[in-house]
Formats: sequence, C-alpha cells, structure tokens
Amino acid sequence: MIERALSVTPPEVRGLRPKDLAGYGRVYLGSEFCRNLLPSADDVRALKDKGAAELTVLTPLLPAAPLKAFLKTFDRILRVFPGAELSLSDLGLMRAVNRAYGKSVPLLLGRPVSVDFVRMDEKFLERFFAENNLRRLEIDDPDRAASFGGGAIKLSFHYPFRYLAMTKFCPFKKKGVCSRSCAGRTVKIRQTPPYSGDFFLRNNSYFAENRAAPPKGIGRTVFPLSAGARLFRARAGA
Amino acid sequence: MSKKKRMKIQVGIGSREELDYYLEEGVDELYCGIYSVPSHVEGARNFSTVEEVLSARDAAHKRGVKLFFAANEASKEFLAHTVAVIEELVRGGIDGVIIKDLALLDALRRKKVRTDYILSTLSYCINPEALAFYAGYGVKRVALPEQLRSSEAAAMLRGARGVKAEVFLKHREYCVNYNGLCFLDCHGGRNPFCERRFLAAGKEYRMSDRGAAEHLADLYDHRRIGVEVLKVGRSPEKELSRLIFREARQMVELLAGDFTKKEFLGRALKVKGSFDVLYKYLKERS
Repeated sequence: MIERALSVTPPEVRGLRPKDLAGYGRVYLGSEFCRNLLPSADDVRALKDKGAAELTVLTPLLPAAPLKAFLKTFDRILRVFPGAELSLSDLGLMRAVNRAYGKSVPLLLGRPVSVDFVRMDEKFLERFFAENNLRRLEIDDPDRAASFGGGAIKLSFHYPFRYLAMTKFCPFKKKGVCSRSCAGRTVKIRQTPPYSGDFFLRNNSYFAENRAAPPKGIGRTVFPLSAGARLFRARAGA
Repeated sequence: MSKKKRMKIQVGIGSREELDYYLEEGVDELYCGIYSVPSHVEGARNFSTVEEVLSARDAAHKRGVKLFFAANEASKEFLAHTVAVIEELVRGGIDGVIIKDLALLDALRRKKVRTDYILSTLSYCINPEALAFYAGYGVKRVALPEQLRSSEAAAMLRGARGVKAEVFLKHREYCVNYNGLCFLDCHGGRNPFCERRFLAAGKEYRMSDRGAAEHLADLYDHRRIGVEVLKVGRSPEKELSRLIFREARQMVELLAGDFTKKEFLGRALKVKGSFDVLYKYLKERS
C-alpha cells in the first residue's frame, strides 16, 4: 500500500483544516527549494495540534549561517515532534545532523539533488544511503523513477510538478525582501514565439507538470496542499 | 603590481590551437575535457582522445603551466569508462581532476587514484560542513558555485585549511539558475532557455540576474577573502573564451592593485564597458 503525504509550507499551517489532513498519514512541512520557508518549532507545534500523525521536515541547500540557525531550530522541532524525518539536499546538513544525533534521525535525500543522484551508479547509491543514514529518495520525474535500479532504496513520488530549475533571484521578492508571498501560489509561465509550451513558478523554482501514475516500486506519494492535492491524486490514479 | 598578490587565471580549452594560444598569452592554468566523458557543459569544446590531452599536458608543462581534466558528471553508464580515463591520465601525469559527482569521487577513492581533486562549480557545496564532507573524498580545491555570494563563500572557506578556491568572471559567465541542478535546455550553450522572453499573467517575464556592478563587487570581495584563481570556462566559441580571458586579465591586474572597493568598481566597470562593444559584435556575428 502506498503511503500518502501532504506537503505544506509554514505560512499555510495556520489555515490548515482537519479535513485537509484527512487521508494523509504524514505531513511534509517546509520547502526543498527556499531557505525562507523553513519551519519553526511553533509551526510544528501548530501542525501537531491540528492532527498531523507523522512529520517530514523539508529543507533546501543552506549556506553556513542559515545552516547553523536551522540546526538549532531542528533541535527544538525534535523536542516537539520526536521521530520527525528530515528531507535534505545539503550534504553539509546531512553530515551535521548525523554527527549531532548519531544517525537516529531518519534522513531523506530530497529534491532537487535527488534528480541529480538518480543518474549515478546504483551500487554507489545503496552504499551512500546506508553509510549516511538516508532512508528514502524523493523524486518527481516518472522516467527517472522508472529507470532507477536501486532496488534497496525506497522512493517517494511528488505531484503535481516535476522539478526543472531553481533560482537564487526569487521573483516573488519585493526590493530584495521576502514576505513569503509565494506560499501556496503557482504562476503559469508561457513561452513566446518561436518557442511554445508552459511551465510553472512555485517559490523560487521552475517546474513542468507531472501527472503520471506512480511508477512501479513507489512507496509514498506526496501532494502539495496548494495545488489541489485531491484533484491531482485522483487524476494521477494514486 | 605585486606578483605575489596577483590572482591566477585558469582557462578551459578544447583544441591544440587554443592550447598554443593561451600558453603564448601567458595563462597560469588550463583545463580540458574529452568528448567521451560527459561534463554537463553544453556546447563545450573538448579534445577527442586521452593521447591528445597528454600531448597538451607535455606542452603545458614545458611552460610550467598546470593542466587539469574536467570530468564533472559521470552517470552510471559512463562511470567505468570515466574512471579508466582518469586513471590513464593520472598515470600520464595530469595535474588534477575537476569532478562534480560523488559517485565518481567515491570510485576514484576506492581505487586509490591519487591526484589533486577539484570540486566542480556544478557541485552544491555551500557551507563548511559540506566542504568537510567533500574533503573526506580528497578534495583540496573548490570551484565556488556561481550562486554563492562572497560573504557565504568566506563563511564556507573559514577554517578550511589548505583548501584553495576558484571563481568565475561572473558578469560574463553566470547562470541565473543553480547550474548544477538545472534541467532547462540550453541548446548547446548558444540559446540559453533562461535568456528567453516569457509571459506570466499576460506580462513580460524574464529570469532575473544580478547586474554587472554587483558581480564585480563580489569579485573584489572574493579576492579579499583569499580566492586564488579566476576561471574562464569553455564556451561554444573560441573567440568568446579569448575575449573573456582578455577581460579577466585586466580584472586580475586591477585586483592586484591597492584599490578600495569603490575605486576597483569604477575602474572595473570601465574595463567592462570597453569589452561590451566586442561582445556585442561577436554575438551579432554568430
């Protein structure tokens, strides 16, 4: 049976209703792409009060100062929600958390670096996962997921977008200041002649649509609250 | 200008002609790839065989110039071949290897291949913990990710004893998206997706970039935090690389001067302005 998870950003927690959580055994909280969407311990407490059964904390790439700050925050989060998983793209964060908690925190190799790792040698990946306490690989590309041969590695499959690129110049910022105005928003971007086709801006990243059925071997599907999770779940047949 | 304070310039080459040109021009370091080893860079010019690379190494060493090999990415179907090529090049005396993939670093470490490992700018190494992780794989030098600001680079490099750093001339060579994690189509580097015009909610939308002044101010700070190498990448056209090299040389001379940041910026923008015309001509011609 495929586990279902709901993905929310911190600004969306306040408006989350119990019925939004119905049918989801787990909540992903934070962002794999933006450091301004990291959750606080208060966000986690609010989520717990609303009935989240299991928690996965999402994190992006983190330069030195945000990394140091997040490690303190994560310590507080673990006190509120012991057993929380940590999805990461930053190998420095992986090293720091494993050193701090003796590999007791379940780690997930998150988007966007997972997209890069799945093309690597699978024997290496299985060893890398085992050595670094990585329990699951987060992916949103049906072709890459289908051709992935790392049988010992569990996969999660994200809907309804497939990652394309991530920018450091967030288009949602106003005069360089982030007010988290991107939370829950998806902007459709259209190419102009001679090119055609659409893609999407969410947070600081660009995506294509992903409506594929979950490839064989997927153990978990993840749906963002803000993209019509139930609708896409139904369309994808997940 | 003090020789001691001068940054080195490293240039990516893809042919004997370019090798000879840059050696004649007094380049400090060179790097190259070969076509059978994918290196992520779309449209990059490369050598065809290991023998050509080793011949280039001979010529470079005669001038006291180091030659590195760029392997960057080695997807599973290319891993064994890439390792074999690197082993052959290391036996042949290449000065180091530029690598992005952890799987490749791991394979070379397991095979005890000893050379200088340079972490590619395409890697996502942006903090001291990540640098320490890669140092465990023998990385001694890091080409800073383009998106890393000088203050963030300083925080990463602080305490990293013996780790050297490289930076690109970013007002000329820069990706607005994290290039190591970008899956947009750049069409061989000649028509980057990110430079196109788009529409969002009926309005024009372009992928943002920093201005040249910001990039140059960042370059000044990179030098002040101890970044030793200014890097010129392998672009689709040899004339473009030569132009960037010539501009880089002038920037290096300015950086070696005892200028304040404001003074450097004023002079650097003038240099940039004089080169803008040439870049425009080159773009129109191609």
